[in-house]
Amino acid sequence: METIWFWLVACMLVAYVIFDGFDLGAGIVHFLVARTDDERRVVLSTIGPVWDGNEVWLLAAGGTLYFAFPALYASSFSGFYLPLMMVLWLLILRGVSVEFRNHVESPVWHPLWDAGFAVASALLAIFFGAALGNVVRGVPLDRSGEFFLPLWTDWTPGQSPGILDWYTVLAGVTVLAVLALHGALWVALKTAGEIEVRARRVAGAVWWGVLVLVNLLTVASFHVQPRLQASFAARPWGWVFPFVAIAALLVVAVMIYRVWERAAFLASSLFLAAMLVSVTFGLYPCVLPSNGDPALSLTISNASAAPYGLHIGLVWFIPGMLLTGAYFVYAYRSFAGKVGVEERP
Amino acid sequence: MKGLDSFPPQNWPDNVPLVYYSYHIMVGLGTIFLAVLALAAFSLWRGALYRSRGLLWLLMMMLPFPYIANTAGWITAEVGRQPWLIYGVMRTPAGVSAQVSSGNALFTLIGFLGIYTILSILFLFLVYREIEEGPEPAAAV
Repeated sequence: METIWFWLVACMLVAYVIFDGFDLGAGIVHFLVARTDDERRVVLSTIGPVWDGNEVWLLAAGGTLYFAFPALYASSFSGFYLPLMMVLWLLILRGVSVEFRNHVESPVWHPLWDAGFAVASALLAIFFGAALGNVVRGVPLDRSGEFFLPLWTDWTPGQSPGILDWYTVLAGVTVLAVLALHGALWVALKTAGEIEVRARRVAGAVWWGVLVLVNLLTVASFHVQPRLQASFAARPWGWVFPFVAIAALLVVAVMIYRVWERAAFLASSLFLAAMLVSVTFGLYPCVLPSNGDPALSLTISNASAAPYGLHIGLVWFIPGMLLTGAYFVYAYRSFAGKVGVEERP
Repeated sequence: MKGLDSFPPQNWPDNVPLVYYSYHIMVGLGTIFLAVLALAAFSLWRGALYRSRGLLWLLMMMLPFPYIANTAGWITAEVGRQPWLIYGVMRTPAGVSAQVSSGNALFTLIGFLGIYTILSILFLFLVYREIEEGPEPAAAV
């Protein structure tokens, strides 16, 4: 039951990264693909109808985490308190920027909120990447399963790391590149004309950055967290996930070249999913490794809720997810197709 | 129905008058809303609502009061629950995050106050502009 919930929480997080990933990505590439005020309006309208629902997957992930692994939720949200609050404020800034931008027809108002949108999206990508880096590297958990990290110490992921060290910063920059690619592919899919051409060009350029950074990050991760190597050695069938990730990334490049935009975007989504599943598989059954004594790590056994609760939760989770899936299909179908520069909302 | 004096004083909320008054504000306002809206609904049914300036003025002036009633209700719930975090199971001081210092909590509290203040100002600014522009003219028949 704990394993089922471990993977359900992982699925919620993967869904969040795939869906809000392109919202954040659209923000990261916002100023690169749209030069005029009208073009920026178009980029915002590609994510306009769906960004709010996409962000809800973060709440779903947090909610299922709270439900299934309350000790992990308590420990990590207290230990990462300040960065978490900053993520919250950045999410507010991103959302407000998207919604307020078109309310006042002024040459000051529009660029202000465009900048808010772009900066918040980029910072969120870096923060989320750094958070993932922290989880993989491990944190100094004490006997009661709690920790607290300062923002930085000596920038090395050694015995007393900070939230920022070279590894987590690398993770943050990698996620920034990966989401920029994902967002550029979405914008290319949903727009036509100048914006589409620029988006495809940006995607093509960023792809090389993703290739380099993801390889660097993978090597660094295996170095920093020996658990990963041990997991893959003990269960070699898990190598399928990284291989699917590599294949998906190569497919993205081919699809960009062939201008098959929907296939490129779907391949990028598969790449994100496969990368995250690889990391999760590598960490299993640990949910938050300790970077000191391995026995102090939070695992699915010592951090989960009682089995009775997990059973009841599963019963309610299934109809809930079916409803959500149905709504998402309906919403995306309703707004299918490209947005044109001539259309003014 | 048990009165407050049948509970030991260490289980009382620390600010009983606040609970009392906020609860009565909430219920009082709610009753006033019911009465005024019932009157307005009756007037609308009779086709007289759009011509009765007094009633329309009253409805417009009532605008801030749902926010007040809402806030009073939340104050009642949160202050009234004290000293319990989970009634009968856990007291509020027992639920504090041991790892988060009071300095951190104060910093984020001020941060949220600042963000909400800015958002409220923006909200008022935008709503004022919307009101100034007025409603869309009805399509010509």
